[in-house]
Amino acid sequence: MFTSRLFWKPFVYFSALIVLVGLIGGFTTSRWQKEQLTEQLLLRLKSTAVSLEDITRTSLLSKDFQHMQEVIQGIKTKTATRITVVALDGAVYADTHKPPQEMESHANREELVNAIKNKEGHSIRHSDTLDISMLYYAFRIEHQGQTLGCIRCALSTSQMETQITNIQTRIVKLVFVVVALGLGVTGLVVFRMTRPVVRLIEEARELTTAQLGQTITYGFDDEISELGRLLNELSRALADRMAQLEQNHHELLTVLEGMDEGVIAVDENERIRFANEAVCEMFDLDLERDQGRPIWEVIRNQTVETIISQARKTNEHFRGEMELLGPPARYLALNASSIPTEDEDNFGVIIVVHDITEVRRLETMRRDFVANVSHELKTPLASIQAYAETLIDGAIDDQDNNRTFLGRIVEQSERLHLLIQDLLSIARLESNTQTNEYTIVNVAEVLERCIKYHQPRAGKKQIKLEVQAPNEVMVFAETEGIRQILDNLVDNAIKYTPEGGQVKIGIEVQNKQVILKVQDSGIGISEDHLLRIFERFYRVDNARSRELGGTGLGLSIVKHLVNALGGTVEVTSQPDVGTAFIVSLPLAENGSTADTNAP
Amino acid sequence: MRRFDQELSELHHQLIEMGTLAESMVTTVVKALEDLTLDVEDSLQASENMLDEMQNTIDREVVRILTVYSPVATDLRYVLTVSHVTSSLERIGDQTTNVLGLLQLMMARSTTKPEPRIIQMGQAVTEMLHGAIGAYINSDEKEAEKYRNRDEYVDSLNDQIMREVLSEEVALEALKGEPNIAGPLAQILIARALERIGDQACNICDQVHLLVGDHP
Repeated sequence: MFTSRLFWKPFVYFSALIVLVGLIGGFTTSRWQKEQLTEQLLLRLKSTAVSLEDITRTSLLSKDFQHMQEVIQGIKTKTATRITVVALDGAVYADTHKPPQEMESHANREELVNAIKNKEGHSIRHSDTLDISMLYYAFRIEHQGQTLGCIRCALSTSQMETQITNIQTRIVKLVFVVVALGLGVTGLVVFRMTRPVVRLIEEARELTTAQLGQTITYGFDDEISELGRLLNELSRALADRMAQLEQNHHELLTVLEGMDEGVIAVDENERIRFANEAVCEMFDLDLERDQGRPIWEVIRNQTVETIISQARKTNEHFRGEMELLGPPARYLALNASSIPTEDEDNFGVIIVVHDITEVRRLETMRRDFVANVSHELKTPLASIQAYAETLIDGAIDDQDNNRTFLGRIVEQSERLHLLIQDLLSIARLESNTQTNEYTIVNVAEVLERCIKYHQPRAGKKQIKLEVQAPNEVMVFAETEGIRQILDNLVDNAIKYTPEGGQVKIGIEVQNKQVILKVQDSGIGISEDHLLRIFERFYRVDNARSRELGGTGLGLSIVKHLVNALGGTVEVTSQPDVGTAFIVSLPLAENGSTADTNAP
Repeated sequence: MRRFDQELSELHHQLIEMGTLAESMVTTVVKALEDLTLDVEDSLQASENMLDEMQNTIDREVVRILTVYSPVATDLRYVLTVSHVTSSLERIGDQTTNVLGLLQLMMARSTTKPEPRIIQMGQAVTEMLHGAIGAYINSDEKEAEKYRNRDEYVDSLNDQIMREVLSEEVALEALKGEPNIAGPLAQILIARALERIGDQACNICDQVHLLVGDHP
């Protein structure tokens, strides 16, 4: 309260005014008192002088001052008045206090000069004769228009001065009391006037630091309380608005956090303002640590920096692509656009990051596919062409070789045929047109036929085919599809198993699923390739696979067929130990056997 | 902000820019090893020139700051380490151009491809460098120690490559009198260059300890 300027300012002004008025009042009063007292004294002296006028005149005319001396001595003893009679030339004729002969000329005394000139004169000064301060009054004595001399009466001022001092002391005391009283009253009044305002200010100050929506408890009832009420209303409105903003912010944040795409915003100084979870994960950011740090310090990637500086400079959208290291490598597409900030010439940037790894992979696959198909078709065609040209060039007459050449031509044509058939079946499967109707198929029966078909080839490589299957396992499918699946898997198993190995084929039923397992003791597939072997034309080892007569489409067809039947296919493998393909298909509901342990 | 602080933060920015450039060079060259392309030669050379220029600029700036402001304590340590880090980065840049030159040799004079382990090494040193620069910027000793320890892995890969390539191929061919050992030689030298990049990343990690300066 007493540190408040609101209090001190009026208080100081009012106090200064009161002190000033007190001083002026006191000073004027004491001045006036002094004048009054002097006036009274003068009047006394004047009446003495006037009463002595006649006798003085007589004395002056007769030049006999004996009687005069006696009279004034008498007055002196009664009233302590000093009376002097001075001639026109300043010579003293009579005096109450000193023999006139011993006295110097009084011609230059102020009161006498004035009296000769103006009939009367007075002054307060130090008397050389008596060595005290005195009040003098002189009166001119005339006789028939002629100045004879002056009579002067004087009284010591000491008594008057004591009186004046007394009065002045009283006045000072009074002024002091009045001023003190005035100050006290002023302080009280100013305090009462400013207190509510100061109190309100204090409350309002608390309001700015306190929780939003808090109100002022103002304890007075006056005009200022209206101000308090308004402040409360303001506080509540602000709290409402803030809550709304908070909610909007929260919603926006939830949306941004939920996005798969990364979003990162930087301000005009390239400091990170916001980054969502996706982007934090991509660039290994910790928002708590990295918020507010420059992006070039945190992400340190040239592509990012380039597009940010471009977007900031030109206020346009910019795109960029980058590769993110660290297994697995990821490709990111960045979209940067500038956002306005408080600084009008400087833009912030918001970057949206898309993970385009999958898109890239599909693109590569498509490109590879076209290249592969062309290549696969070209190879047998080139062979056919070469053999045919050789035959035309005369080899047709070569009895030893012409049949071999023709055989090769047929062989390559078959290969082409096979390839085109595979391509067609993939195309059919991919376009999802169900040309054949599904029936209940006994997988065991199809497997039996399949084994019969492959037995000779296995026998040639001395590979043992082991079959473990119940007699009847029904699935809802088309026979041709099941045949293709089994054919491809068994064919692969025999192909990639060295001589003397073994291939185990098993069928069992688990949880209404038919589990079809083809396991070989072959060369196996290393982990890098495992994920990709179901892609079209993907070959672990190009040379070997082609040599063995594969089209590169077998497993791709298997996968498509299994998917079309609502099943799944998995593969586990270990290099030099063997590979196992596990196909699971849904069991047909009627006509199945639960006898999974049957041989 | 005081003028000195301003200049220090400007230096910091320049250093990070240089680090980013060096990192991108390593990434580029590792990618080239993977994809077997030499397309990046020009851009890599341009980056190398820029890296040298940056080093000169930063070094001049370091000397200027040292003489004009005579910094003390943390600031002094920082300015001194900056000079070390830039020289490490510059050497990393040199090694990347070396690697690309060797790849050129390999592709021109032989049919050998970089071993998968070389690619692994490349990826490892790329990560190491990124981590080292990050640790330096954040003055994070723990991170520095973590990435410093990766060097053992890189070294062991280098040793493996050296042993295998030397014994199996080069020694035999050299003994046979077949002088075409460009492929294996490039293999060994690429591995060594990558190993050196790893070492420089280690040096940067070591600077973190100096920067933090809690040690005698």
